[in-house]
Amino acid sequence: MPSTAEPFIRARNLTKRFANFTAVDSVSFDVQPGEAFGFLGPNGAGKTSTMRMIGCASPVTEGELHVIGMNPRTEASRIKARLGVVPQQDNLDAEITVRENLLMYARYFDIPGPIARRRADELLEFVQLSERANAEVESLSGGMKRRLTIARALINEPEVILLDEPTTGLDPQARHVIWERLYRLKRRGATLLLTTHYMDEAEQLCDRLVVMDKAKIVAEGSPRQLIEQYSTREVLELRFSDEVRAQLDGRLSGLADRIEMLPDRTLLYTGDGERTLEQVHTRNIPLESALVRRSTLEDVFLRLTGRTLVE
Amino acid sequence: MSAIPSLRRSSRMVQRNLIVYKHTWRVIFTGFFEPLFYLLGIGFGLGGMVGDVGGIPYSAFVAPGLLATSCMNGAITDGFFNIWFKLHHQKTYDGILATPMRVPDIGFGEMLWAMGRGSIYAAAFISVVLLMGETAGPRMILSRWAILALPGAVFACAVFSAMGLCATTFVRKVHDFDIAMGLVVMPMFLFSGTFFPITQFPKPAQWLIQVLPLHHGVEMLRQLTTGAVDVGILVHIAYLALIGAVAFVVAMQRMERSLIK
Amino acid sequence: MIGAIRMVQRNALVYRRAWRGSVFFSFLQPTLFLIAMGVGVGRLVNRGDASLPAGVDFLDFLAPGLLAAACMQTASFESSWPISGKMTWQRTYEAITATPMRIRDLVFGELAWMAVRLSTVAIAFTAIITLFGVPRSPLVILAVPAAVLTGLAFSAPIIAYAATRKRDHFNGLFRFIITPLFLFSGVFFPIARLPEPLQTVAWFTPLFHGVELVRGLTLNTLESPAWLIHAAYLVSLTVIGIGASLWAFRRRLHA
Repeated sequence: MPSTAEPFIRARNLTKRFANFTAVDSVSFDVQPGEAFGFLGPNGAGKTSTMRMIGCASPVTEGELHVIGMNPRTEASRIKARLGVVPQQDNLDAEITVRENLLMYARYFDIPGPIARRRADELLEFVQLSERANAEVESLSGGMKRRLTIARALINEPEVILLDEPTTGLDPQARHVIWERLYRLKRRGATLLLTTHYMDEAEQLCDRLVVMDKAKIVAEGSPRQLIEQYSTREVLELRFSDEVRAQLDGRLSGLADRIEMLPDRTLLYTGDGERTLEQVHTRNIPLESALVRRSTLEDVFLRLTGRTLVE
Repeated sequence: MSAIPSLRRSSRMVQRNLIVYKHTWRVIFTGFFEPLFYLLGIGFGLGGMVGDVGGIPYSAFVAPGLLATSCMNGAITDGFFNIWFKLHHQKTYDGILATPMRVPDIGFGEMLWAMGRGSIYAAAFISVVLLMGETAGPRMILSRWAILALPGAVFACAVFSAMGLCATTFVRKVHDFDIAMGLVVMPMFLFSGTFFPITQFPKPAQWLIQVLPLHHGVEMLRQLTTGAVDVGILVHIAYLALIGAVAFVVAMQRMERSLIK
Repeated sequence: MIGAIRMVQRNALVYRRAWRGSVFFSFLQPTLFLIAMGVGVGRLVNRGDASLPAGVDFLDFLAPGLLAAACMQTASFESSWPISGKMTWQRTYEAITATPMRIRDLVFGELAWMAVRLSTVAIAFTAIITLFGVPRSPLVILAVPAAVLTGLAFSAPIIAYAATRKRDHFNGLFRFIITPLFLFSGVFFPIARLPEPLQTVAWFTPLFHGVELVRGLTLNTLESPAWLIHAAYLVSLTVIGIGASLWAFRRRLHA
């Protein structure tokens, strides 16, 4: 992707080492203004450590990192003033109410009282928590807490919003509410950085993403580019009985570009799933079930790492 | 690594705690009763069987000791657990650190808050002691020097709050608090010369007591309320200032280490 | 009965991992008070014209008082936060009532466990005051159950109170009830030194009866009808507390 402006975030050989392991190993990427940029990968891939370095919550061990043109090492407070952070685990202030959380957070940014109050009320409206304004944080559901954390991250009208696993642990309904709100932010032109291990989240929200595995970036592109590059158009998912599976060797060969044997199912990567299924039938292999679907980022990840995202 | 705290940003922490205590102000209010009960129970009740100590009534001897204790209670006991919980369990500080606030701002802010709370206890205690002395007697404030007892108490609160903050950063489990209270706070309360002159102990034990910060707080405040002021008060002040400064620096470094990874 | 034993087992299991803190709380605190007040302040007292009953030393007067007070404090502490925690936060009781355990197994189990804990406190502290040469007669053996009874007289009602609380409201209990009782119920000075109306108030506090009973047994100064009154008072309070606890547990768990 050609860069049209100075990148908002620029990382070169960015590395994070803890006492006994390397969490992020020499990664490089650029994020442009107005872009929704994702880090996709399983738990422990180094996504959170990368986010924490960008959010100036964790010192850079090695390499270069610029956030909105500034160096986190020396200008942390000035960077943070222009960021909104939604951490992986909600760290709301449990001792004060929902609205007070927003007001107090505004004070940490030196936002004057009247403006803080106006924004707090607007944001409560935005995340649909107006009715719970005076509730205690502990009384909120998981989804509500998440929404409040998002509202809190927006109190300083940030130029960049960092979202670390924004919907992990939420039920499907709560996830969709959050996706819808994040989509609105994106349309307003906010720059979003998010980590996720849900491929559907990455596909829905990200303009561009990097796939991370074992502390390194293994691929980069838009969701469509990645699927085109690393997978076929369609996937045929087959399930066999244990006996058939045990004696399968070679009987599927030549039917697809690539075959993945997972513990519970077998994936055949092919341009036309229905045709491949017919060929399976002609070879007289008894099936328990068959499903033709489009390729997803999950398949990209499997191809790149040999593992599934959510285990 | 650790920067100088900003007073403006630190005051945000005080503001945050004020919002919390808006819901639970009774806790602040009740904290000062403990030294008062001790004054009545030990100073007067038990004191009735005692007579004079070093030429002053027992209640006048105990009152400044309990004043120092109420500084310690306000600054350490009541805030100790709360800060630890925010540090390790609620992750409140992690949330705050995503803003322009820095670790020293948070630490100094918490210290200011603890100091303020201790000072409120102290001011209330001094008022009650003065009032009781004037109306029911016997007098426990014996000198005009006592006008310096309030600033002295505020200073002691600052020192104790830095110590409390520092100690908190060493606590790993909730049960460590019981140990800290049992092994440090409670012995300090009982043996710092609060209830009896430390000269009753053999020399080596006295030296040990002279290490305790509360002892210097008690002696400093006792000189002021009884008027027996001598140059020694400067030693007490210097020692407290030193302990407070060291505790603060250590606390900041350790907070920085546990919050920034 | 078996059910109550299960409850004791469960608590003992937890205690195995958390005993250090409570050791400090239970033995160290009264011992420190004994040294500071009994020895330190005691010397000042003995110089004056002290009017202690039976002409005992201040240390001897104080020690049994602290024994009763230690049981009060341990019992109050262990019956407040831990009980409300198991009721509300951890929902331990809810989980246990899903088994054949009954409400009364829970209540009697908790009290039996409390009696075990209080016995350790009382035995240890009695040993300590014996080292200080306080006891005047072998009757001091009976001071242990008397101190345990004092603790239970606090434990049972506080368990009932804790079981009804949704959040902890125990700071008030400790600041305005337990601490004043500790200071004004005859532990540090005879209640006769209190102003007239307060003497009557002090006489009606449970700790006063606990202190009198334990002190009487330790110093062998017990008088015939008085000890019965003290013991009857403490037993009644325990029984009332048990009734209230059963009611409170039923209301919370069978609602």
